[in-house]
Amino acid sequence: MSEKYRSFVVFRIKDLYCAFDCLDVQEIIRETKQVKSICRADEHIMGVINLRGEIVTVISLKQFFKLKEKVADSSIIVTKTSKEHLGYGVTEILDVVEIPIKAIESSPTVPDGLETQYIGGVFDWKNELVTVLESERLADLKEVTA
Amino acid sequence: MDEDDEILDLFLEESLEDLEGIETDLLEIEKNGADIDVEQVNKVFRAMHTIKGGSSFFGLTKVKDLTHVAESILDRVRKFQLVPTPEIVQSLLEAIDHLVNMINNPSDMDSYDISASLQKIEAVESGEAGPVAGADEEVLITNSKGELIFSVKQSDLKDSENEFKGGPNLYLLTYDLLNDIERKDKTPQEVIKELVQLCYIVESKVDYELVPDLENFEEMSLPFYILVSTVLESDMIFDFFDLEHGSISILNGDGSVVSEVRDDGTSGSNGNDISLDELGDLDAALAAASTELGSKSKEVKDPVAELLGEVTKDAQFVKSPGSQPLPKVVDKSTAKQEKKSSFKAKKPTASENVRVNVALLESLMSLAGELVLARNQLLQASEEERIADMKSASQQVNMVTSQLQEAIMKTRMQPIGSVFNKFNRIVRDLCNDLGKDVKVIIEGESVEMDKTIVESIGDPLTHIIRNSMDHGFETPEQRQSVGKDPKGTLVIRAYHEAGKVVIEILDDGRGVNIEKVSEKAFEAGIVTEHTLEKMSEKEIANLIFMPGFSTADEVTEISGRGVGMDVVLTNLKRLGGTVDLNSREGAGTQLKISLPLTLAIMPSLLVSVCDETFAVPQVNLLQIVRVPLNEIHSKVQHTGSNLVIRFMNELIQLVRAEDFLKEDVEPIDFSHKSFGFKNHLYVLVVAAGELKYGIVVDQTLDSPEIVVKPFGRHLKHLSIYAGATILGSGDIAPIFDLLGIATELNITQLDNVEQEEDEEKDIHAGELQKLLIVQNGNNERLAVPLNNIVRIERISSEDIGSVGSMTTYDYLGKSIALFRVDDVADITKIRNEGKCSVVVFETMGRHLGLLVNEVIDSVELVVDFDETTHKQTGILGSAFIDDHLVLLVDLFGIVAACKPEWVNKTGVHVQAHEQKHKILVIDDSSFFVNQISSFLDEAGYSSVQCMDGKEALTLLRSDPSVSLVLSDIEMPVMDGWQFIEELRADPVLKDLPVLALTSVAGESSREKGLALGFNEYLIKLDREEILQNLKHYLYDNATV
Repeated sequence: MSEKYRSFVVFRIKDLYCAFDCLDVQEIIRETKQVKSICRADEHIMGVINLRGEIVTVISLKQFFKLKEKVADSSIIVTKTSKEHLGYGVTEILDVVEIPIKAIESSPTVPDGLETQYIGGVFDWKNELVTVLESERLADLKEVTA
Repeated sequence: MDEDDEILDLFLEESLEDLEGIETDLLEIEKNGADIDVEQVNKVFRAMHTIKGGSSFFGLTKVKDLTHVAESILDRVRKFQLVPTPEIVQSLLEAIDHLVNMINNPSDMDSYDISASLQKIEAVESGEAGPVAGADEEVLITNSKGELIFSVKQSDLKDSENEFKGGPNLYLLTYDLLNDIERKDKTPQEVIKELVQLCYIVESKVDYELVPDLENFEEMSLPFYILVSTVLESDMIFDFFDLEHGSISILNGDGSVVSEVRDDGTSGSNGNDISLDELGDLDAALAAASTELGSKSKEVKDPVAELLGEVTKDAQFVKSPGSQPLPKVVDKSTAKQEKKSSFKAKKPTASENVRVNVALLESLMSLAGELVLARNQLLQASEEERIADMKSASQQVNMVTSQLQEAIMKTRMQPIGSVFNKFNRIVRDLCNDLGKDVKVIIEGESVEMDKTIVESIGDPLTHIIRNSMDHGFETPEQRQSVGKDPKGTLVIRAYHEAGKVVIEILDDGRGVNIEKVSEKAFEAGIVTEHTLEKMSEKEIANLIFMPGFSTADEVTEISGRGVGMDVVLTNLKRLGGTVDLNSREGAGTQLKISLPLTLAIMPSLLVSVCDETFAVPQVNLLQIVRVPLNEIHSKVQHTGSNLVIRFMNELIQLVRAEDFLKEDVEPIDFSHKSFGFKNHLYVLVVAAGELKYGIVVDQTLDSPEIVVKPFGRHLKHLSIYAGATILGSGDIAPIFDLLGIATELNITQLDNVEQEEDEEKDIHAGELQKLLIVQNGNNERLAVPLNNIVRIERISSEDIGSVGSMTTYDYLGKSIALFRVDDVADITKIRNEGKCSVVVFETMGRHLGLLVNEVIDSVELVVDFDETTHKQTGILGSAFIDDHLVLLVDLFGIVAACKPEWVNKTGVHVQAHEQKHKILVIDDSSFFVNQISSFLDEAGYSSVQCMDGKEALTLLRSDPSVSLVLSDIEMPVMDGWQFIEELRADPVLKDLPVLALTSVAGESSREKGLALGFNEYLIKLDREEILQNLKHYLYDNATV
């Protein structure tokens, strides 16, 4: 079973549907109040949070996709990378789903200039096309060059 | 397997620890030379022995071999058979380098090449054997195939002759455990029993490397080599030892093989084939050996036959002094290469452990217990909502946590000695390389610092010491030509000062060449000619810390490779340290590094800027200045586009926190009187290294101890932060990196400041004074010398009590007498209502309080006191400080006027009938000269005055009636240091008591003073102490 399916956290960045592999996710924080913004940090950095004594940087995903409209992020997905924990601010967390590996297709299009190497494929979920993001690689990305 | 690894790790770690101390011991042994300290040699010997034992247990053959040879040398040293010459110690040190490297890289141990070092030690050992013991070479014994079997000492061979069953004949027997013993149905025990009946066994071993694998069982043998000494002649021996032909070799007294005993009982040369190549190799060896052989071969009748025998046996010539030079030269170069690579070798896993004192561990355990207890109380109380209990429990938690923190920090504290000790070796090696002669004095090895700091200061310090060795010290000849001791002295010392650890590196070399430095700095474009002109010598000397600076005319191996002192400075700054360089050309250099005790937890100040909280490390914080709105225009000025503020007679640049925090800040409104500031200012005066500047913040908050946490990689590049911390509330506060901020904003020392400063210096040729400025009444300002003050208490007038006519105040549970300046002096009366302050000071052996209305400031500045206009009882003089007239309070005078009986009780005054002593007072400030003279007069002494050391020496030489000297330190023409040195060198004056008087108190200058020959080191204006010391030296000592 585990070989045939992969679990994903499905979330929305404004109207863009994305997902992280559950194995990359450390935890989900359903609020963004405690994010402390850091003066002079790059624009896509929301700030930092205190994750049980560790200072974790939070990146606003909507900045990646150049979604400048005022859409407040509601939640933070804390992911594990090989080096550290990294948080991503997202508009809304929708579901945790199991998708058969066969159902994951390579992405036909690249949303808003995001390079293919950050995308692990796409799958259908409730008639929406969900883009799987590679969190490890995303962490190295400074900002989307549109 | 894992368990084995653990034991191995433990062994490696212990070995490293053992080795650590050895270097110093070896150097000490070298220094002592023929005067051998047996206990010290024993110590090194024991360490080697322990490592040898362990390594053979773990099968670390290379370690074992090295330690074995080292051990045997040491053994002979401690038996006084060998004098530890520099060569011997050098070879041992190299062996230790190899050992450390091997132990540090256990996985690469097999590939490690120690043969050069082994050879060298062996060579040294045999070569240098002469002085004490006479020849005692290591004799190498080979079998018929030329393979090395044993290495036996000549003396052992000789001794064996006199052993039980021993004799003049030596044989090497080769039993084959498989063929000779097993197949002949004997047991090894039987064989050995037989042997012991016949001869004395010098040495034996089984060549287990040849243990056959199963396939080749038939062809293989398992040789058992036995070296025996016996009376049996060679023709009889075959009958006794049940051995095949070729299994017995007859040996000379010096271990060389004469021949093999054939089974027919005849002896003859063994006709092994020798290739031409081999012969070629042997040529050189023979040439060297032949000169020796004549004398060596006592027992051999025909030297030529002996020589031939040697050739056939692959020239196993005895290592002797004659054969030395060639291999030695080769060794040195390879050893050098290895040494270099060993410097690069990084520390491995072994140092990941910390040794903790058991007592400390116990205290940690008990604290943990207390913490659990407190937690339980807290949980219970909060469950039952008992507020009072919760409060007490949380207090308990607070206390235990602090203690726990302290105890845990202690476990990280390591003595700095582990870093210092290696400098002995480095200096010694550099002395050899550079042809210099320098003695190292190390002090304060036991000073403890955080592990991380101890580990990271090694490299910067090494760099400094290499620099000092290369540039600082002259060669012995140069030193002699300028009249210095040809042996230079390098002092490395650590001590605590003001909550920091100070590391001082002092050399008595040539000092920093100011001319050369300014020239090079100018060439490198570090400074302009204009600024150079205005720089003091000290500032110029400090240019060596600038990036891109190197005075070395040529790049040597030791220094000048472009990795300059700036790297040292950056590294030390990273550790929160500061560097201060003092140099006197021709006399030496002093480098003073002060470092925090620990990095992990640091005291900080929280400030708020734009409603956000930031932490500022207190190490960088000099002062917080509040500038009221209406004073902004007078206190803050601008130069060009920068704001400046005056801080302690220095103009420093002022920046707004917004300038570096926000991207779009409103520019400073220079047209506005208050520069656009709408509120009073909080200015943090901070120091980043040598650079000082001010930061305007909105508000200052708490000052907690914080734990520094690093930022993630997306924020690391922000140089204005040193990381962040988590506050008690769980909130995050970024920590300012003040060096980073300075770089970000391009803050530099202000150029135009220096000029003003210089002018100021000219005006006040006086002395730096620490004063507390207080206010009496409404606007009369008084200054109290800070040196006398113990504490300042803020009280309300109700706290003041009275006993009889005396007012008192409860200070730390004791009632102390209160005085007012207006009790004795004609000044404004103190206001009697509301809040006031008590300045607690100490004089005449008691704590006393001075009542004042308000404490204004503490200043450290150069002032000229006018000692005439306002002089009266209780007032020493007056001066203008910050545009206010300030009266200098005479604490002693006030007390003396109010309570004359106390003064007499202390017995510092001279009885009338006693002889009047003449005291010389030296001080360049006429104010102090007059002050001191006047109270000396009061106390019943007569005094003469001088303005500087030179004048004083002239006076002393012409006037022998002076019985004691009080001397200032900082003086023109000849300062106190030079004065005392010259005085102590004068045959007539050298025993005169001289007390130093200074306004700058510091443990290091005090030590220096006492070392140079001052009898005491006293604080100016502390009359009581001065008088007591006068009494001590003039009267108490007179009877001695």
